[in-house]
This record gives sequence, structure tokens and C-alpha cells, in this order.
Amino acid sequence: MILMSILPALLAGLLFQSPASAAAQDSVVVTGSYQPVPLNETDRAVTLLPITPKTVLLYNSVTDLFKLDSSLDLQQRAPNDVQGDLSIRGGTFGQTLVLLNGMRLNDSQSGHHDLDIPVPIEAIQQVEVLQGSGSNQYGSDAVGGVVNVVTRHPDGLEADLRSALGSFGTNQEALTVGAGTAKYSELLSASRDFSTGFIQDRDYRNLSLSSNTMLTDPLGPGSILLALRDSPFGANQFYGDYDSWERTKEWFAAAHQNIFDNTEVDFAYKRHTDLFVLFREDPQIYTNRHADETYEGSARRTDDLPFGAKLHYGTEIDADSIESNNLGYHQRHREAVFVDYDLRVFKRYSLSVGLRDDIYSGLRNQLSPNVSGAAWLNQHFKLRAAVSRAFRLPTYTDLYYSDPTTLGNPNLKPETAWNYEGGLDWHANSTLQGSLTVFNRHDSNIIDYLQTHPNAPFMAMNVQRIVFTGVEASAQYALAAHHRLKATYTFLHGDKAPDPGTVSRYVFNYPTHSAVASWEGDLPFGLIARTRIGALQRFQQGPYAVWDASIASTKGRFRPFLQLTNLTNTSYQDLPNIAQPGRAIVGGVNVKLGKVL
Amino acid sequence: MLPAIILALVLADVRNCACDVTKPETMESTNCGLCREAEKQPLERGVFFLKDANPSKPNRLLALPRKHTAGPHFLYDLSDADRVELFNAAIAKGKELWGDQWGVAYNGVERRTQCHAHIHIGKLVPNAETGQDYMVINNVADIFVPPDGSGFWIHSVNGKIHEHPGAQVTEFILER
Repeated sequence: MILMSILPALLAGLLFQSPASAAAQDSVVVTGSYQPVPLNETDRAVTLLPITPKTVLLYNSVTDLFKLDSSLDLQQRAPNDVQGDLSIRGGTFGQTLVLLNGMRLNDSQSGHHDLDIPVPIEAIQQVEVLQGSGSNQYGSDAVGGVVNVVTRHPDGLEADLRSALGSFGTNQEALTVGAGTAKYSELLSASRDFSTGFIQDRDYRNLSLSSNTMLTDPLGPGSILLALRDSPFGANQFYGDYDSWERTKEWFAAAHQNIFDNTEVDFAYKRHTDLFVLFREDPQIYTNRHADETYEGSARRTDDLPFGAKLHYGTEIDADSIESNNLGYHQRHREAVFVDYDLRVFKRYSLSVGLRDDIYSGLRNQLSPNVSGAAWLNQHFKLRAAVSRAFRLPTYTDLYYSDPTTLGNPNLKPETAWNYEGGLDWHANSTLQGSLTVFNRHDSNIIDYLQTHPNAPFMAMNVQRIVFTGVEASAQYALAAHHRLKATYTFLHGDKAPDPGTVSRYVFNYPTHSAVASWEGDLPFGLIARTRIGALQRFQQGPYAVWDASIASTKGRFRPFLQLTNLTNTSYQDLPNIAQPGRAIVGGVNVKLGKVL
Repeated sequence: MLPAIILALVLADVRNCACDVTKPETMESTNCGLCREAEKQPLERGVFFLKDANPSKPNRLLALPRKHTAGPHFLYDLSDADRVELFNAAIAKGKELWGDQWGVAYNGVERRTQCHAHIHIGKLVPNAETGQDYMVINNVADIFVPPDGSGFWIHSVNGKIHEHPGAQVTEFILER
């Protein structure tokens, strides 16, 4: 019935809208290059997933953005940012580096916490995705790709209060207050998301708080981001057929300062705690407590060279430690130096040659070279290619975890990979674009948890070599003003299957085919809506499709919204034996306490 | 006068153009002036010329396509045939007026003051080409319009076209 109501309005909206604007051409990305560049000037495969104060009511959580592109394989244990893994190009979840404003969120205890993004979705401006290796720029973990969550600054004076109710006892509140000028701004955001759970012991209570301050001083622009996330949740089926319970907390602080035009310094601190109870009603039987801390500092400089070239160079220092009743106490540190020569000629040709050396505890090192380039063949076609090497250090769980069913392995070696890719971008005009990328990644020493016979525990091991070959295709059409149609498809082939008699926990859960079709646009009467259908087939598993849709008002002080997920009530699992919710609806209202646009 | 012109160029930015011929109220804006001029032209005319309205540029002409495109009227959004027609017409007019000294300049979207696509035609200032920062273009159809909306200028050297892309303000290479 809802769809029957939306469809005529959608068609009317499309028919009576003015021609599309070319605003997409102004999109600037900061991921995958050392300086911000327009999206169509990148010489790597980069995807931009924007969100604005106007469209935020169409999304329940930042993970909804990850569902908009088939190259992102979101493997959720529970929806709405409770817990999930993110994989790109067949990499395991730990092989995707998650950044917040360019600073690392990846967790040294376990990659399962990498998506514990501490800022509410109301504080986010866009998510940038670098498909393929990024270790030359970001160091460890950037093997399959990099996801950079970029926060926003307020647009003048704003104050919003959102409240919603929905299926499975969902109860959400969010408050965003911001004010600013061109030189100073402050955005405070708080959100709370509660659910009694779609099945027993899958309740959750997410809380996120953030403060984003921007200040331009005589040195240049600077910013301070403070954020907190607290997520207690029922973990039924997460790590076996147990009625488990878990609570993760994350404290994040980051400071950025430009020093005149050519130098930037950053510092970040992250503390993450994880309390895991195997049997919720009997915590004394098995409980794990982990607390890890990470410090990160970096300094980067860019110098102009002859012929329009730039030289980027700098250093980065990371230190992390963990204290855990299961993993013990450990600490390690990493120092890196990097240099990159970037040549851009005539707005038509680009070449980037870089090298990064990460030296970590024990004076071992990892070299991460990168060569990438692009050339516009004519007005409409840009050819690009890249070769790079990436690595990932094992997490503390990979190294030291121990329980009756799972064992870490202190002898694990770092994972390494060589990534080769070539692509063709098609720009018919500013309303119609397409992209095709073919990639090939040679993984060595990839870490998986293997069970070699039915009664043995899963043990972390370096799997020898796997070669992934794939294709990423996308097309985007700005049909009319504020109407955007997008279709993406990803194919992936791995050259190995699990050895007979061996059970793999993570490596062989990659999608062989994945497609996403989405639309977002304005409707009459001040409404905005979006819908997406994602279809996916994992290695040696059957296909499934999930359909989501949202609609919201963008006019007036009181703006109702409706979010529908899994409209077809598909029964599916992103991770083996972890059920996902069926059809669900969340409805609420956003109150504009500040200016009304 | 020159500081005023420079200030106008520095402050100009047509990325959020809203000129829409189907909505007359949107055409009243100052930066839709050339769109209104285009509407005065016969529909069948592909390219038309205007004398630069700025009194400080008495020797300048503008070449404009009759067609409108969306938003900031990127040259990039014209069809290949329309773009070639525009360049051919502008170059022919430049040759007619200034012989081998012709120059054609397109200001980038961040520094244009008018939404409707237009290129400046004039006589090159002496020694406009000072370095090797140009591409040699054999065919008008191969003139590269940067997809990011930045500007470029072209001129003739020994029968070949030299293209200088990348800057936002390019019309300064033409005599006033």
C-alpha cells in the first residue's frame, strides 16, 4: 500500500523536475590521495557516499550507506551499527581499514570492532571508499580497501531533535546542535538507539556522543573531534549457539592542525573496551574483559616541484596496547615514513609514485610501494591503472586468544598482498557517468581460523596464497534535479576453495556476485525518498535480495519520516548461522528547533 | 577599473546556477544575462556572437551556443558536435579579425560571472605563451575540455593549435 502511494508521487516528481544540475562535479574526496582532489581526478577506484542534513532522515545508521555500493560487503551480526564486519574485494574484515577523518578506527584487539564508529550519523558528511590497497598511504590493514568516514561542520545555526519508534521495540532519539562561521564552528550530536530485539537475546542499546570543533587560527584551519560510543547488546548466535551478551565502549579524540599551506599534523587517541559474557544469565561460567588503547600521530608536508608536480612526505607513529583477562597484556608500536611524487599535467594526465616503510616492534618492517596513473583519452573516457603492495599485522585476538573452541597463534606472520588494477571511467556528461574496474590481488599469509577435524578447535593460521580477481562496474544517472539513479555490480573469483575436511571461518565467505540498484530524489510536497535493492550471492551459497525504502519530509518545523527495511521479508544470513531481522519499520519525526529551511 | 574587474572575477562562481528557461522567474538573475541573450536567437542558430558588454574590453567578442545546458552550462555538457561547432566558429571569427594572432579563452566555472556557456575571442597579448605548459592539438575535435570545469585557452602556432588547460581565469591572455 505504501509503495502504491509512493510510486505515483515519484513519477510525478520525475516528470516535473527541472534538468539535473552538475553539482556532482564539485565532489571532492580526500581518500586515496595526499591532497583533496575532485572525484573525477582520482587515479584510483574511489566511491563517494554523501549524506546531508536534508537526506539524513532516510538513513537509520552509517552502515546504511555501506549498503549503497556493491563493492562493499557488509557482513552484519546485527543491524543498526550494533556489530558488523566490512569487506572489500574479498578481503577479510580485518583487511578493510576504517578511518574517521583520516585517523584509524581499526581495533587492535579484534577486527570485529572496526565498525564501532563513535559519531552519530547526524554528524557525518560523507563516506569515502578506496577500493584496493592503501597501505602506501595508511599503513597496516588497508589490504582490500579503505573506508573513510568524514564528519561535517554545521551550516550556520542549527538544532534538530529526532525521535522514532518501530519494529522490535525500537526507540530512537537524537539531538544535534550546531553553530558556526567560516572560521569557527561547533557541532554537538547525541543519539540513542534502543531495541528489545527481533529474537530473544538480540536486544541492544546504542549511545553515541560527539563534539566536532573547527577553529581557524593564524597557522591555518584546525579541528578537534571528541566522541564516545557505548553499545551493550545481546549476542545470541554471534560466536556459537549461545545466549551471549556483549558490551563495547569506545572513546575517541582527534586533533588536526594545518601549519600554513603545506604542512598538516594530526593526533588521535582511542580507547576501546569489550566485555563478553558467553552465557548471559551465568556470567561466572565464561566472561572476557578486554581494554585496548591506541595513540596515533602524523605529520605531512607537501612541496611544489617543477612542471606542476608535488612531493608529499611525512611520518606517522602508532602505539597500541591491550589488557585482557584472556589475551594478557601486550603492547607494540609502529613508526612509518612515506614519500610520494605526484604529477598532474594539463588536467589530463596524472602519475603518482610512492613508497612507505612501516617499522614495527622488533625492528621488522613492511615496504608499501604504489604506482598509479590516469589519462583522459578524450572528453569522455579516462583510463587508470595502479599497482600497490599492502599488509596487515595480526590483531591481539589473532595472536593470543584462547578458549575451548578457538585458538590464536602467536607465530602468525603479517598478511601481505600485491594489488593490480585497471579501470575505465566514462563521463558522458555531468549527468551520466559510468566506471569499470578490473582488479587482481595476490594475498600471501592471509590469516583465517581453520578447523581441521570436527572435534578440533578453530585455530588462527596463515593460509598460504589466494589470488582474487574481480570486476567492479557502476553507472550513475542524475535523472532530474536531485534525482540520482545508481547501479553497481561486483564480481569476485578466488582461485582456491577450502581444503576437503577443513572448515574455514572467514576467508571463504566472500560474495561472488553482488549488485545494488538505488534511487534517491525529491518528490512533490516537500518530500524526499530513497530506495535500494541489493542482491548478493556468496561463495558456494545461494543468492538473496534485500529491499529497503525510506521517505521523509524536508519542509516545515516538524518533519515526519518512515524507514522500511527488508520489505520482502527475506530470510538471510550475512555470516553463517547468524539470523538477520525480517521486515521492519521505523517511523518518527524530526523537529527543527533552529532555522527552518 | 582593472581592480574592479579582477574583484568581479575573484568573487564570481557559477557552480550553483539556477537559470532555467522553463521557469521565467529564475532567468531574472544577473548571472543569467547570457541565457536571456541566447533566448533571443533563432532556434536553428547553432552559435552566435556577442560583443563583450564590458566597456573596458572593447576588442573582445564572445562565442556562445544557442543551446542551454543544465546548471553552470559546462562546455563539457554540450554534445561533441555542438562543441566542435562552437570552437570552429570561434576560431574562424578570431582568424577573420586578428589573423594568426587570434586567441580563444574559456574561464573556469569558479571564476565565470555568467552561467551560459561562452568563450572569449580576442587578440593574444604579446608573448602569451611563455613555457612548455601546452598540448599540441591537431584537430578541433580533440580540444580537451577539463571535466572538472576549469578553464583553458587555445591559440595557433605554425598551423597547429596549442592548448593551455588548468587555470580558472584565462581571458587575461587576450588583449582588451
